Amino acid sequence: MDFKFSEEQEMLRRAVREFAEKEIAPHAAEWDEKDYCPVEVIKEMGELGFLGTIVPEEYGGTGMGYTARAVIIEEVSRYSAGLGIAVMTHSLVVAPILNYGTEEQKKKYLPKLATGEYIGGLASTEPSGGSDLVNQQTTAEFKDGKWVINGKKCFITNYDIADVTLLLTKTGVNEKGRPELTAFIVKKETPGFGIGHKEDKLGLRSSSTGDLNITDLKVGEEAVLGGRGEGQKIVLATIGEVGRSGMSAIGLGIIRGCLEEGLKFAKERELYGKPLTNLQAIQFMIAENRMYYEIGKLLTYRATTLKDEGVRCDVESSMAKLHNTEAAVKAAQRTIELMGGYGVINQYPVGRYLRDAMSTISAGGTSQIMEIVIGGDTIKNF
Amino acid sequence: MRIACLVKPVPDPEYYNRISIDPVRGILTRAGIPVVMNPTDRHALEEAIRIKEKMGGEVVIFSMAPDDAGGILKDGLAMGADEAYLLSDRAFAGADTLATSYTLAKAIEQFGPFDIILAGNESADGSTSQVPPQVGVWLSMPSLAGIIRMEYGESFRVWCDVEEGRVEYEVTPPVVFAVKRGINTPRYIGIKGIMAAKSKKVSIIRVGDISVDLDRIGLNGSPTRAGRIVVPDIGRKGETITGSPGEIAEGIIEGLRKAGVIKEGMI
Amino acid sequence: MRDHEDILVFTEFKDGHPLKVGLEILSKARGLADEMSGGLYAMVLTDRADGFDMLFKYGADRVYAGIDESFRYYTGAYFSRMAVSLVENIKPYAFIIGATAMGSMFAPEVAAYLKTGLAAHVIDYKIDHAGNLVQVVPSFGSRVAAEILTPHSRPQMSTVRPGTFELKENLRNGSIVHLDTSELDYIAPRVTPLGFEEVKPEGMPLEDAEVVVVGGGGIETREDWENLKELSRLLNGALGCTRPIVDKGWSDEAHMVGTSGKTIKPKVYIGIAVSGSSHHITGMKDSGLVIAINKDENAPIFDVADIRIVADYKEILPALLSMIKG
Ligand SMILES: Cc1cc2nc3c(=O)[nH]c(=O)nc-3n(C[C@H](O)[C@H](O)[C@H](O)COP(=O)(O)OP(=O)(O)OC[C@H]3O[C@@H](n4cnc5c(N)ncnc54)[C@H](O)[C@@H]3O)c2cc1C
Ligand SMILES: Cc1cc2nc3c(=O)[nH]c(=O)nc-3n(C[C@H](O)[C@H](O)[C@H](O)COP(=O)(O)OP(=O)(O)OC[C@H]3O[C@@H](n4cnc5c(N)ncnc54)[C@H](O)[C@@H]3O)c2cc1C
Ligand SMILES: Cc1cc2nc3c(=O)[nH]c(=O)nc-3n(C[C@H](O)[C@H](O)[C@H](O)COP(=O)(O)OP(=O)(O)OC[C@H]3O[C@@H](n4cnc5c(N)ncnc54)[C@H](O)[C@@H]3O)c2cc1C
Repeated sequence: MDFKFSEEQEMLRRAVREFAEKEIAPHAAEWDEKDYCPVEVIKEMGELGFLGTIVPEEYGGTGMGYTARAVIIEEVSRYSAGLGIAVMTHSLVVAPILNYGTEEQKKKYLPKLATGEYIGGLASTEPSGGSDLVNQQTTAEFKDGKWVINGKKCFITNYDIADVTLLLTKTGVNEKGRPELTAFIVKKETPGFGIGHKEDKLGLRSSSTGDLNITDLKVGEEAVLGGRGEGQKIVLATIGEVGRSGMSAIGLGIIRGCLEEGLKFAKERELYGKPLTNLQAIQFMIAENRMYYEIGKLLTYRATTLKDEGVRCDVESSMAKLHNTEAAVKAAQRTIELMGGYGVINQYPVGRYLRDAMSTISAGGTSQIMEIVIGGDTIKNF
Repeated sequence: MRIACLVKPVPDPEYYNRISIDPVRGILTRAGIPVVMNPTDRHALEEAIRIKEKMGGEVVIFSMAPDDAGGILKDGLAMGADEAYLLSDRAFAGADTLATSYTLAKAIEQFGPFDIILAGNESADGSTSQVPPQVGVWLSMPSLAGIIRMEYGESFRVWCDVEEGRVEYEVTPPVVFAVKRGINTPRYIGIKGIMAAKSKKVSIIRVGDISVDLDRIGLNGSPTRAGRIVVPDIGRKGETITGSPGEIAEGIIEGLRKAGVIKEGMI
Repeated sequence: MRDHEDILVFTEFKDGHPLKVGLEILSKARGLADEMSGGLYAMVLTDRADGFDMLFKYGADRVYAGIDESFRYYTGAYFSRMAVSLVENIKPYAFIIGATAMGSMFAPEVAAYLKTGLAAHVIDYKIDHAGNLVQVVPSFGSRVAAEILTPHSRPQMSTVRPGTFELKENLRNGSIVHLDTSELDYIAPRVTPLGFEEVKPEGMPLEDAEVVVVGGGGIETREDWENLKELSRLLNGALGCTRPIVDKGWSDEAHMVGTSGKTIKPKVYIGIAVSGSSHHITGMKDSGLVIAINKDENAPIFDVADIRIVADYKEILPALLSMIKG
């Protein structure tokens, strides 16, 4: 087993950390307060190549892979998990185009997505329930040589800033009588692509999440990704491996934030004339946070290493996602306790980390859904 | 244009409040303080890369530091430098600015010639600002420091910050320039740079790899000797004033009055 | 050691006047010269034959003056040649130079030509048993002070930042020795000064003010910054800053206090939302009364403060302003 990051991955971490410390950390609280998604920062990250790690060089990316992507998401989420989810969601349209797109689609979208000229999103969740993904109410009908799409999506990250959205629809029923789902690549300016209401979220507020109202949106055959009826497979695989490993990296960033902020506070704060770190009970809390972080790191980067090697990793990604998002909540709670009264004062960022952590739980599939995936696999294969 | 850029790895300045002195051995403890590229040197490197981008050529980093500084030089390569030399040998240790500048100059000579030597105006730790002009002397090149602006073409125009203004100079290379932070905003390292750095080399240079006079390097070559190191006690036994903003403001004014800086009638 | 040891001080001139730092060094070095029973000499390179009286007033026994049009601005090749010749000629025990912009280019160059040691930014001098000059220098900001010796080479060279030593008059009945500048004709410098562009710092110079208000990285808005300006004006003082304020563009390096900025010793220093990094403390630690306002009770500035106020400046500042305005 090899637990070392490559020299390039280490350099990447230093580079992103420096960027995050200068361009993200000083503004994260303000973005949260104002419920503002800093598109300009996402664009800057694009220029630095931070949005194109999973895109091969031939399509304008760097081909550094999924571990590199997770490093970026972790470092960004250390200071702003909200921006973290905006960045992570971007790849939910990149990966499927790369894996299922035609040569033409790849050439058309990937170079612009890799550099952040286009921002991406994925819309599957509907008011009728995200867990029940198959039960899509959004429909696409083929009429006069065009697909006509109608429906409503909700909780869509980057719904308003995404130039390109992967839209999941129902195009009929198959031979077995099951819904036939098809995914479309849709551009923001297409008539009928209605940007709806914005959610006022508890956390992850540096990302925008909201509704898409799709009315008589018309696209040609060239917008279909991977062929008619392939939508379910594409979206589940994308969310399962790319989305969940990404969400796990967000959780990891939050945990590190809690660990570092708690440690800093405990070292500086004096109680009974000594630093807080002298109290054993405080050391236990710090130890717990450290453990969450180390476990989370192993889980996340194992999943992404498998992904980089082309090995299936949906279960590993689900475990990483489940552990890290839940651990982030616990780490934030512990850290608030560690800080005493200061923990709940908004001058300190840990309260925000708790809100962010809570908000990661259902994004990319709820904890129960993760358990179903992990449990099912364990019973079948372990 | 061949440009040599001097880069010094230093303990991260963000942590200097944590530096303490081991009372028994009388040495500085820097444990746990990460080493970073000297902040001003990033501006020097940025300027070097800009000159290269405009005029063509090559940027070569020179650094005298222990082996583990290689990562920092790799970052410099990722920023856009082409090559790096890390001068690392026990024989170089203990150098003052004269020996440091001599060693750097000898390496620059060996792997030269260079048209421009760019350096930071000061390091974060030693902060003497002495190395760049001294490198100039060893290389028989003129030097200018405190540079806040540069224009390049056939000749160079540079503006040096001085008390109450700026002096403008016209310069014909080869020359040594030490730049201030204000000269530019260094670029962030992007992934393209990191990938490109993969195929660029950090060469470690030992004492045998360059032709130096052994009496001019390291501690032997240093006319200065460090004596005792002390942590000066600059602490004050202050009083804390509390209360409403109004009461605190009164306390401040009371202090100003006692210090004799508030004349009657001022308030 | 010889029976007497002389000290040479380079005193920089501008428009026919010595810069204050040169006089500060003379004031300090007078005592050292007396201790060594030696002479205190000033070296001047200037384009005008004025202003030498001031050097005698602050203790110089002799002035070595090079007067030439080409000394109007600093040109390393000329200045170093003159200094190297003089040093080789009079062989001083120590050679001290003000760490101005010019001195910071000049001193290292001369030291390298002479292959002698140079101690940077000395804050104190002593003479040890062996007769060496002990030069105390700060490092890591002001976190640490180190003693630097140059035991085997002469002269023992060092630089001193403006504002480090007190001015002390000690009138001498000195003489002026003119330096021969004819050899400069054989030098063809590749660096040519084209001119000087004055950048007048806004407000009162920090060094001259009795009260200095310093605003730090915690100052949130431009409006608050303007309020600090108002406060400094009302107190007949100057407004200084730390690095983050320079980075924001609200002030400039001429107003920055610390390692890369000014060393100040006002009667009263008021630090507002300043953390007290060692790089800043270097420049203000010798102030008279130090008042610090910071919302973080653990801010290191409080370690060097006489009056500590743990509070949000946004609450204190309006109260203070309205009280002063009456
Ligand atoms: C910040 C944020 C960003 C998001 N971004 C996107 C996005 O970009 N694109 C997108 O398509 N969606 C997005 N979502 C939606 C997200 O994918 C859904 O919230 C998630 O799939 C859950 O769906 P739901 O909210 O409808 O909850 P429901 O599916 O209604 O679930 C309600 C509860 O029932 C439980 N439950 C459901 N099924 C089972 C079961 N079989 N067994 C046991 N318990 C079960 C769940 O665990 C949960 O506790 C985002 C959500 C959030 C919070
Ligand atoms: C406490 C302390 C006090 C000291 N005081 C003195 C003193 O008074 N006199 C003295 O001669 N020495 C002194 N030294 C030693 C001096 O710091 C070292 O010689 C050091 O190697 C170079 O000097 P600097 O850090 O001051 O560099 P500066 O001259 O301030 O650096 C300016 C620029 O030169 C370049 N540069 C400097 N060092 C290197 C390097 N190693 N590799 C590549 N580029 C470099 C960089 O571009 C840097 O930005 C002191 C050291 C310490 C720790
Ligand atoms: C080689 C080198 C040279 C340097 N030279 C200098 C120099 O000459 N001068 C200099 O200043 N710096 C210098 N620096 C930078 C220095 O290291 C510090 O980064 C800088 O001094 C920090 O400035 P600050 O304390 O004002 O800001 P910060 O570190 O940002 O601190 C802000 C402070 O304000 C407090 N605060 C925030 N909001 C409020 C509020 N509402 N009310 C009350 N308090 C509040 C915070 O608690 C904090 O303590 C140098 C650095 C290097 C590497």
